[in-house]
Amino acid sequence: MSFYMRTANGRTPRRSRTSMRLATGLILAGYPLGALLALNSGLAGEGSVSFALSLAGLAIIAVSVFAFFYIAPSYMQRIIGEQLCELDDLERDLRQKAYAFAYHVLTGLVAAAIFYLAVANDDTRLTLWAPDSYTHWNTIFWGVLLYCFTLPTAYLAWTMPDISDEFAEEELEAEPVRKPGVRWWLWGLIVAGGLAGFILARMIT
Amino acid sequence: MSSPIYNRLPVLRAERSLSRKALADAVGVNFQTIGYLERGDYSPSLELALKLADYFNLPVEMIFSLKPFEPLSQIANKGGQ
Repeated sequence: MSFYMRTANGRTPRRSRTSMRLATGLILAGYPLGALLALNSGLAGEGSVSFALSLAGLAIIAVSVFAFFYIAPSYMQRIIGEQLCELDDLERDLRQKAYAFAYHVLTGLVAAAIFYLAVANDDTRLTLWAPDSYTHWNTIFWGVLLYCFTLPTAYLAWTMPDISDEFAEEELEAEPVRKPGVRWWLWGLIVAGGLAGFILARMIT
Repeated sequence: MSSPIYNRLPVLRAERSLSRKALADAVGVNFQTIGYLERGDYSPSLELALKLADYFNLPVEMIFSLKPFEPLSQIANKGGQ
């Protein structure tokens, strides 16, 4: 599962490999760090230190989300999230490799998390932290989603050779432009879903 | 680890005064893909190799090879002897 955001002018913005590495690293390391800080700020007591920690955690989360929106319209994210029929030979090959890598990492993380939760819930002598509220699970949900979107792109950022310097400006400018179309069926589906949800909620209550 | 595939794409493109963009459009790929092919960072699929051979009107083995191509100067010297 991934996500690609086409820019309003239809062009793929140029992102250097270094900036992509930085951005993906920031997302993958920043979000868990920010979430840990924000969720565990209560351990520092009730005073201003706790508030400052919570604020710092939220700021780090915000930075990692902004970093995602930096990579979202990039060429690498296009390879990961664009419709398959829009990709060429090389791009499909790269997507397969990136997805395989992300699958391995994500399954490893999920297995480790389940093992940890099993120990934390089973052995009360260790007093390990375990998520127990909506806020905890909500933070984990968005973190998993962010990891799903970013891991394949991070793989490309660290393995794809950077050849952007080899292209002349006019060659990059000549790149075909495909402006994002208005997907009426998608908007229809969202509106219909909202209406159905509203009617169902009224009927149940 | 797969062995590298050498190609003559830069030479063929230069002798026809083709830009990477023009070649990419002709075979239906992104122009950056041609860049990766020329650098040897990517080995083309059979389909793409055949499309390129068809475009240049040459046999595939004249464009792609498992061994490095002999430099043109060497070929010219041999022809002169």
